[in-house]
Amino acid sequence: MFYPLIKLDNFHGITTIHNFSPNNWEAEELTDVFLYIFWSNGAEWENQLIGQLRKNESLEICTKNLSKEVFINKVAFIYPSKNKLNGNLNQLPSENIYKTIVPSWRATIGIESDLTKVSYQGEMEPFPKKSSLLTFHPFLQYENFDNYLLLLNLTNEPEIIESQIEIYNGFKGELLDIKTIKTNSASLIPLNSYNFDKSELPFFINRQTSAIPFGFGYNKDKSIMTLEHTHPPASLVLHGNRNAIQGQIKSKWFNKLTTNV
Amino acid sequence: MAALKIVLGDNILSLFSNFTYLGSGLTKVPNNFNSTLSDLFLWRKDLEWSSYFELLDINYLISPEIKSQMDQFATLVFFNHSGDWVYQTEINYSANGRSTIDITKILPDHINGYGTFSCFHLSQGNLFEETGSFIADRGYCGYTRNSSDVKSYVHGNLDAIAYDGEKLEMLGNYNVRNYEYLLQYEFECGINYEVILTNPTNKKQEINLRFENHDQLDEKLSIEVRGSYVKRIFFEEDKKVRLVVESHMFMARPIIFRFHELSLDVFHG
Repeated sequence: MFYPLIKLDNFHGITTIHNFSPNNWEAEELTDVFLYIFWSNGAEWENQLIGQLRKNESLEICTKNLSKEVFINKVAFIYPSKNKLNGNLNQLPSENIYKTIVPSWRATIGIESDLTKVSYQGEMEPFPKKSSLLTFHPFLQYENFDNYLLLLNLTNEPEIIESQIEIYNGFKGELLDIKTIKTNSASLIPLNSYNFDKSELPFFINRQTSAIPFGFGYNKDKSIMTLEHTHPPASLVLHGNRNAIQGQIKSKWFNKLTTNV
Repeated sequence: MAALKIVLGDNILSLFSNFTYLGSGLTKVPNNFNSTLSDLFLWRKDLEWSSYFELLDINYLISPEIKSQMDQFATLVFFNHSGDWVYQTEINYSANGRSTIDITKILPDHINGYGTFSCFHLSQGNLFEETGSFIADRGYCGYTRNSSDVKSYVHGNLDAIAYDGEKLEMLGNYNVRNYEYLLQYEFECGINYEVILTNPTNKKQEINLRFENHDQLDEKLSIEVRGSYVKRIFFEEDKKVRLVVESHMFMARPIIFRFHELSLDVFHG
């Protein structure tokens, strides 16, 4: 399990790791852990020991207290480990010490300006090398508000691979733009320039790579911020084979929305 | 059960409950395959608060190939904090990708305070009867305070309630065991918070809020079916405080509002 620490320009990131179980029905014996921070240099996973977390404790980690090189990809990933690690790695470590399912073992992940902060409870597992993304952004805001799509990607391999994200006005089926995003990185896509009106639903498609998508935004002086993840298509249904239905929904939209104009 | 308890001691409760939990799942399967599902979203409406709901054409998002000329509508059902039905309306959203519903404006003037609501998409029935899946609205609510232009959004918490056009059916699961949901979050001194709990089950639920490191905030409460409760949190002592939600519900996950001077942060606990 990994926990993102996000460093966007003009903001700081704060992630609080919790070494206590989120429930009493999947609880396992707690142990002290070492906290490592991972970032990719494109060829290897560099990592650094940033602290030790005793059982039943929490630790807040802030981008202010770490060197700039850690955030060359705008995000680094905190990994709790039972054992000390030795040097750079070709793959992310696979041992997962936190095994709860309902809910997953989560951290408090935040972004702060000088005046306020926003956060969510989350965690991150590496995406497969070949994956895809379809999401909608239903909560763009107006009145002097800067809207972004924030995408977080993590893969086991350290390579930084570029891929294309297509931006559509979904219901009209118009391709508005194609932007590049990177693996093992945070990608921030400004949305105001597309002038979506209040009844339009922006669609985002990536046919090669997946990511956790967020709607992120702030007002001019950054005294008000918002951060919330956008849903994957599987969230539109419950029960039955949701993964299969998600595949069907993606396939339908991938065929309907094409870059051939 | 008693005999097993003698043999296995206290472990029997854990074994029984885990089995039941895993067998039942977080959410029950609705009795009627024509039902559609919704979260129990929180609405707030008073001089300070306004609430919004982002209404999406879910049928079209799922099945873009069957876009038809027929009207698409959603049924919004509102409950007060005691879980009583207070208002219901249908909203046509044909041909709109997104409709921002101002709940403050659609609720009648005499309905104020807070409560829960659900959004059901019954226009085309259940598109997934063959696979045993149900259309669900887990959409986004936005909240503003003091006439701010900027909304703070949070997505649905749990698929909680089914509706077949005639009857509502609660889907949240519970059993005899005490489940402790430990928020992996630390409350900070000098900051105002509100923790919102809802009851998605078909039975009134007793809940014990236990605050580690600050037991003056502890509270025992009960929430009616479809009801909701706002727990306000503030302390001045320089320390961090955690919350354990003890109940018979499988996952009593609250929504948390954290108040800043000009803005607010709302998220799932």
